[in-house]
Amino acid sequence: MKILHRLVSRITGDLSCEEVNSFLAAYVDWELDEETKVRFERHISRCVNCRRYLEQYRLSVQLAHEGGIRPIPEELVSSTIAFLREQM
Amino acid sequence: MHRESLTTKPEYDVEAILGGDHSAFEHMVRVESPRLFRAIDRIVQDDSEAASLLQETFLQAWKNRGAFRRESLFSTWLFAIAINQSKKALRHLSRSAPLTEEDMDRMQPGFTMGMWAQPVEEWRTEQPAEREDLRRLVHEGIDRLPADARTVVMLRDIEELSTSETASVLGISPGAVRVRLHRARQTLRAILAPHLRIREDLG
Repeated sequence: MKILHRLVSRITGDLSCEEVNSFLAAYVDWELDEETKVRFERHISRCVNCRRYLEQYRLSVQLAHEGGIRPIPEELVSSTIAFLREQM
Repeated sequence: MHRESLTTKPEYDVEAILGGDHSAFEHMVRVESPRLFRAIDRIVQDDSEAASLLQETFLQAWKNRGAFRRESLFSTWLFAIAINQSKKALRHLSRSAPLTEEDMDRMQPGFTMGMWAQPVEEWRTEQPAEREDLRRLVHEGIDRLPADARTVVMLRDIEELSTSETASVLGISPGAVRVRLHRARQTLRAILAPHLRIREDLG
């Protein structure tokens, strides 16, 4: 069954799940060329596994972004500038 | 999720800095300190070590300002100095990340003849109240990544440098940035999975 599926993909020019996975970072970051993007989205619209994975991947990236901007210690900038004034 | 680089409009006068203007330099220090500190701290994972590396980064930048070539942004150049300093310090700190490259290998999805080796499990919808816990989980995961993976996530997904800026900071190709980032993101996804997957408990 898998072999048949793969053969059909080859003939129709569809991306495989593995190829879709390899384009995931570029897709999420809006860095895919238009033609590949169309093929990527065509695959996603038909493949529940890749669709789920894309959503989960996206959530992981969002969570990484959200919690990342931590406040810095208050006196850090003034002590850095005091240090540099001595050295410059 | 389109990311505009935050570094495209410098909020300080680079030419004045290069000309040796102390107050222009100090202004730049105020502007760049927060994200440089976060970046360094992510790598060395020690606030006081990060604070002294931040000072050292700016001092190096001041002393070597004549070596800045205008091909890249000033902030990109600063990041490159900060990351080199941090990696050097990390070797002396001899801190080992709890996740190894082999652990990361195991956390990547598997494919057989181009198709998923295992079906991708459905995740339940997260509750608004647990968002903070999930965020913490991902950030603990980032801190456990090997230094190279942690650095690329920090530059791209936290500090929002573009792929080409990140490539320039790390001295690798944009393609290599994407591959490294993808591998790290897939690891973070695998860390989240046990907390969000729908368990089909038939017992």
